[in-house]
Amino acid sequence: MSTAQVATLPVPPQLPARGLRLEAPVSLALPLAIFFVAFVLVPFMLLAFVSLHEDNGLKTMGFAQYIKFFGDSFNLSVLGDTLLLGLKVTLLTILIGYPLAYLYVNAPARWQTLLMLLILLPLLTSSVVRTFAWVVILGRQGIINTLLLDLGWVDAPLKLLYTPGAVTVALAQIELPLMVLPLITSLMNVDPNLRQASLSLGAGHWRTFMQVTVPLSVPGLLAGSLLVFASAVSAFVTQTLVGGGQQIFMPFYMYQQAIQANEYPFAAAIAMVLLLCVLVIVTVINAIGRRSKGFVHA
Amino acid sequence: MNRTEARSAVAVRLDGVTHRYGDSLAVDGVDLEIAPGELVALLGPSGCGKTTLLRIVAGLIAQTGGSVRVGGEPVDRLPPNERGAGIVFQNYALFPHMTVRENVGYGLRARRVARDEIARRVDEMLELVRMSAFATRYPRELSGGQQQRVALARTLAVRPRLLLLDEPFAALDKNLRLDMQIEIRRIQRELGITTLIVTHDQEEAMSMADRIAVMNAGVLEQFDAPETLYDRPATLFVAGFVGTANLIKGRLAGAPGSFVFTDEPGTSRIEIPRAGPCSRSGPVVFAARPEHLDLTQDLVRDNGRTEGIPVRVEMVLPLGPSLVYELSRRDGSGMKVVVPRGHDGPRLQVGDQVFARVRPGAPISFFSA
Amino acid sequence: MPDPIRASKPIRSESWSSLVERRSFRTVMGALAAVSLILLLAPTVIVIIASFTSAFSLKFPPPGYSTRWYLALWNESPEIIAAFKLSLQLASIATGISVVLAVAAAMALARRREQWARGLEAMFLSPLMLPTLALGLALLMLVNLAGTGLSFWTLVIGHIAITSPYIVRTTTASLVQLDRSLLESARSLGASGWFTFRTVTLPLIAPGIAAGAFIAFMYSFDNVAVSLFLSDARSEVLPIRMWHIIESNLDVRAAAVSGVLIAATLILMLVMERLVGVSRHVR
Repeated sequence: MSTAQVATLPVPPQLPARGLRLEAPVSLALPLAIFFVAFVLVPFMLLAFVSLHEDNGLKTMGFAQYIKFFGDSFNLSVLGDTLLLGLKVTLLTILIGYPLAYLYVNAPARWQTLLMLLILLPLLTSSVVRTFAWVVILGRQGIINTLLLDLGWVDAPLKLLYTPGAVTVALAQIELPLMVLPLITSLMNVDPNLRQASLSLGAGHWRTFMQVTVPLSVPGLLAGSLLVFASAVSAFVTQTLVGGGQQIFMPFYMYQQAIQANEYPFAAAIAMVLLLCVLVIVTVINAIGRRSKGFVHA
Repeated sequence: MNRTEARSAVAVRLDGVTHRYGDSLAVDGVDLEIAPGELVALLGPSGCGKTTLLRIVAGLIAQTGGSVRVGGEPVDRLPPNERGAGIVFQNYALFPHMTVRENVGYGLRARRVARDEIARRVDEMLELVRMSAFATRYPRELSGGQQQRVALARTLAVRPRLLLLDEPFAALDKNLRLDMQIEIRRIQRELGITTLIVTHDQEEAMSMADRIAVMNAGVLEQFDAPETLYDRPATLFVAGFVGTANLIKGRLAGAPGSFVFTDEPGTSRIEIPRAGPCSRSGPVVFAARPEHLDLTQDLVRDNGRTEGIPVRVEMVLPLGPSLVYELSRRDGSGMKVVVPRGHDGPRLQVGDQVFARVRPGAPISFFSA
Repeated sequence: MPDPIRASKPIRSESWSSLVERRSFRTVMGALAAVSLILLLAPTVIVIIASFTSAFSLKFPPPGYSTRWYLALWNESPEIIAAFKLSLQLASIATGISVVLAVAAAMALARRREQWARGLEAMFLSPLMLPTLALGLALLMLVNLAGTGLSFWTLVIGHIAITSPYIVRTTTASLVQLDRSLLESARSLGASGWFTFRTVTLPLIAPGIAAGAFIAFMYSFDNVAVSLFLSDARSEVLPIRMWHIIESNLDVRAAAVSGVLIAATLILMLVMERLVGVSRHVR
């Protein structure tokens, strides 16, 4: 009765066992997949295809559009300005956004819900509305000029709108939630004991912040940077309304060439260049992110 | 279900059940026969494969080899509900968005049982686990023990042929654990349902189970009643895992009727009429429970022969009706001997050099080394 | 022998340098955070205040206050109201279709480790990362090539493409957090796959789906990039109408529209937070 030895009855033929499968059938993903192939993948391939032609009639193929783009200093400056804008906005959002994320993480729970809603509200509000707000603020009769005039610091209203600085600041404010939210997630994943350990070992608050908190929040910084950069570079509305006619960035350039100038292949080339730049930068940031995950999660 | 209804309990049989995860073997050729209505505990250290085995019996995992039979029929191709396997998970898995009543009736609703029948059975089950007063509460409003009872009621409501519990008491505190063990045992007896419980706590297994299957690294070491496991461990692992045992490496010589065990340095010598499970001459491991040994100050016995294990008294702990002696051997290893208080012989002090001997008739074991 | 009682020492407290260090850190971070918060909210507040101006320009601070521009919006702006209705219609239909497609896809993909599943998920989330303006242009080209011409439905297609990622994301997150043993439990009790989905999975992931749908709806309502390329002459969505107003003559009605939109967003957000706890699904 007692041992673990084989029973005397013959072992029955082995039927393959079934187990319990919990996953939903793969076919459920098919509808969206088909939609995306038809209306995202194919259009992008079409975009690439059109960009490789020399004329609207799509008769001759070639790299003419790309040569035209990269050969002209004006075009390159538009690209450069756009990428630079993305960089500046990203850095500015890190500077402004970090303290806010830090505040949220250290705030008592009741305040956290309120803070979160305050951070979310701009995100959900129309970008046209938010850009319009900056037009109101920076305009000749806007609050800044009124303030400066009243204080007597200037004699005539400054031209604040339609300057590169204005676009940067406006975009930084508009994209701020996109940086703050991933930062909050990242900071909340940091073990609070680490901060306590650092403080109790004698490191001051500043050193603890720079050497413990910030490095551990790198995943959040990278995620936020990715989102802010991609958004800032593509922010058609703000770039155009706050930047005015004087500055042209890639999105407007693309629109202008397609709709106003009717140069579809060139517009397609501009779109492809923008896409590829964003793709490259996203890939780079993701790669950095994967490397840093190693040390963040001990 | 009427509790007085005769319930035909089923037997469970595992033949050569094996399960591999990639390269590692979680369960290695387990053969097991569980009698109808029996409560069997799967006992072992963490990682020994007991939970995997339970999930295989349940039908949640498709084992890579071997077969499972319930009530005589092979169930390998059947999902859990068709096998009649009722599972209570370690974290209870109560549906948080349903009340206790809705939870308990869930399986019946899924099987499209008539509404009034569902109500009747739910009431019956809630009464069985003594949770009738909580029918309209939500799981988050219940304590751990209460949640477990609801989980049990939910599983029993669909009248499974088998009851499978995965470490049911792990999350409860000690006092509650004892109560719940008694409770589950009572219910199991009342329903007469064949039950399999996974646990790493040997006290729990010893007190609840009819028989215990001890597992180690995927292998079934021994399957026996609790007392048999304790008195006649089949393997070295069981001797060391179930209860405490003093283990000494050495050599066995002699023949049935007069075996002699000597330890490696040769300083200890034990004479014993019976040896098992290993009785061949050669290297063995000697295993004796603390209460199987006695301490004496004379090396030489009445019959003139020297016998004993030289030890030094390190600690003397009175524990209820016994005295626990912590001892150290010449090579530094520890031993434990328990004697009833007030037994004849002088009370020993720390630092005394004495000899440990086997009590006459005590069931000590030898395992091949 | 106990020690003789000595003259009692003063009780030590935090050193001066430590106090300064701690206070300076807290003060600086607090101040920066306050600036951040003000910067975050000020533009919205300013717009609302400006919308109540009695003047004909957007001078700030306004010389006087009145609700005339809201009245003008209500009474004298049929084209703005038409644009509002169109945006509402578009956002509702696009979000509705997206929910069905996205939830199904999330169910199929969540928790799968295979390469193709990860790849599909990346494709579904790609519009979040890539310039949607390019997608708008690309879709325009597709429409021109197919010769079908622009219509309300080309707009819907574009909006489904940009809204479904949000729903895929929040639904996937909800599914990943779902306790597997709940599903094992349901199945072992006799529930079929569909019954389990209906009674266990769906109720528990509904908040996640709702949060995603809410964000998707607001995003569609607000979108300019795709709408710019894909709307025909007859249908003009609200953001584009607003843009024209701002660009052309800086009509103060733009401020009133903004005020209405901000108020609507705020109310919806509070409602969704109450019902579903949106803030938890965004992180």
